Amino acid sequence: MTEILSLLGSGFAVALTPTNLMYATIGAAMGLIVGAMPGIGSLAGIALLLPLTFKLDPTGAIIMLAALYYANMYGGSFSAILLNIPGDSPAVMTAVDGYKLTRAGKAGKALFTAIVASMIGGTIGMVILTVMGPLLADVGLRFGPAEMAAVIVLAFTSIGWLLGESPAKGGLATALGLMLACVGVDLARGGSRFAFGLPDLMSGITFVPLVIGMFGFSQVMILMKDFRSQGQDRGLADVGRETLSIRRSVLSRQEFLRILPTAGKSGLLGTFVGVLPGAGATMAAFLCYVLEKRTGRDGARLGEGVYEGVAAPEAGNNAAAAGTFAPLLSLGIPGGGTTAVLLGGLMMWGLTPGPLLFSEQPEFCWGLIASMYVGNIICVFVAIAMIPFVTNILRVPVRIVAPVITAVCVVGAYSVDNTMFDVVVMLAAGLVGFFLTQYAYPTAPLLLAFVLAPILERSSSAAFEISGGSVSIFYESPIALGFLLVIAAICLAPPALKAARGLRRTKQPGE
Amino acid sequence: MRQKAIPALVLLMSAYWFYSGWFVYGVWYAGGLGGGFMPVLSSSLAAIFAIVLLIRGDAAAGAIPWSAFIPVAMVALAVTLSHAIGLLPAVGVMLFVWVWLLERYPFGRALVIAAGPTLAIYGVFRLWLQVPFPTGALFGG
Repeated sequence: MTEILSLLGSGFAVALTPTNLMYATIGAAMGLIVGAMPGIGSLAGIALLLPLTFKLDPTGAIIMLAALYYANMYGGSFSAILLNIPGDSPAVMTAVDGYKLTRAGKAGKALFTAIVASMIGGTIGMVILTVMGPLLADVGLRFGPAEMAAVIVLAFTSIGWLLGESPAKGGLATALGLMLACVGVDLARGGSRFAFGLPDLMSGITFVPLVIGMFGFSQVMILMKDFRSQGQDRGLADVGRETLSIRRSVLSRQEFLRILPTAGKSGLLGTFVGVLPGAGATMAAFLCYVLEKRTGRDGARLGEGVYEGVAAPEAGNNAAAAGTFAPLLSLGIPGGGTTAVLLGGLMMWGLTPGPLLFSEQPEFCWGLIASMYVGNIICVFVAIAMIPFVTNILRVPVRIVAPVITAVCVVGAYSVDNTMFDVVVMLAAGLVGFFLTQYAYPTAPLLLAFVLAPILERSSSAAFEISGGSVSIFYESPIALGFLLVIAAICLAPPALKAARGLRRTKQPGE
Repeated sequence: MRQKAIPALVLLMSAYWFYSGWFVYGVWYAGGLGGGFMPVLSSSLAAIFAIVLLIRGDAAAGAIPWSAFIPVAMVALAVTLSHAIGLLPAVGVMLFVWVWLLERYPFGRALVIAAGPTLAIYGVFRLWLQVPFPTGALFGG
């Protein structure tokens, strides 16, 4: 422990040099802006900024890119909370409660909750990364395809009846998401499915245009439906002059104590999920939301617009952003697409991530970890300073906001792959999202099923390949078996409890 | 009847997904999962839920006013115009038409409202992020 603290101390000496501090600040500011922009996201953001770091030293370059990565998680929540447009997929869950808080005139507090929870989650992730990085990476390595498939099935059992009043509607939305995920490359065999002869569909439906359409564009349609009849100059939410100040956005002691346990447990779970190869921040945000829904004091109210609904996914995705560095640095395994780009960056500078990196390049490793602590604090200050400016958006009349959001949706969808086909996908997704919302179908399960389906298909396909087609791989692994038992308990417990209650009621009159 | 439209459409879609998964892509392939596994699994689930919803019925949504579809028409206009004049000018025209004709802002103010976001989009996406916008047939794109 003393050795770790000493190494971290030397890391801080590297991170706190004026140059590296400047790189972290630039990365944090850019990450916040890029994260708030629908259609860009951390992967595209890092890819775009990679060339800018060519002339920097490896430590400075990775410090800047890492700051961009986790600041992106902060930024993603801004547009999710204010406009119901998640800047990136990890912010999808944040939009569910965040936007409802905005409509209730609590945008400032919702943003502050997101910032505080992100800071707590990120810090938990970094502390765990500092102390247990190599050990966590080892646990993550025990997750083979069977375990990963089991954990995703476990996640699916919670999606449908998580967010809607009707389990059947939630189930239908989930299944629709799974069906849409089948379009494109067949991950089991490599062929193309459901492309209908369209070259643009050969590689599947791109997630970002889908999410922009489903959440952002459908929201514009709802705004046009609801607000035009309510007054031409009404803003998105009832935001008074006082609400715009930072002081009014600060959480009260009571509100802070409410989100503290949520952020704490989400930080722990998010770090662990971040360590799992292929899981990433989106899955962390979703699982943390599920955990809060099931175990939180106010879990039943999640989805109605409560602070815990913002705190759980935000703490989770920031913790995962830190956790994902454990397997990257100690084993050279990226936890997701963005860290894969970072890995490419490391190798570009002649650094080979793995167990030897800590011993051969301690200055770089511990400098990076220390800079994450520093960058996290910088992010908090930059994000809080932005609150009064961004909440001003809510004062602009809907008849101006609606066209502008539509323009951002069009350009955001186009900029993902630079193709007009994605704009058409965004338009179609918007229409689907609008009609689903009108008939009270939850749209978040559809998107989450769409994200998780390829991981499920890849993992289950690999599991069957390993076992030679035998299902025994799922019950021979203690971890997978454990997950399957939990799935069985989740599925069987509600009907069993209902039957037991019914039995008790029928016995009582005769007794 | 209208409230059953969504489950009915999903049921039709799931029938096609199931057929393609089972007969075209194949569920099982030489000791491993075939490309049809996920389509069959997802369509089976979708069909179950769609049938439940069709039997149970659903609360009808209120009437949807035409104004809800203004954004759809505007995006269609922008996509169509982008082939001729390029994406960025098309977005600018879309903003101007929307604000001036539909929201009835005065001409000059509508021009300013449309120009602001268009220039911001140009600055962020084209100049900073270097997104190559299509220039359209009229400008040799």
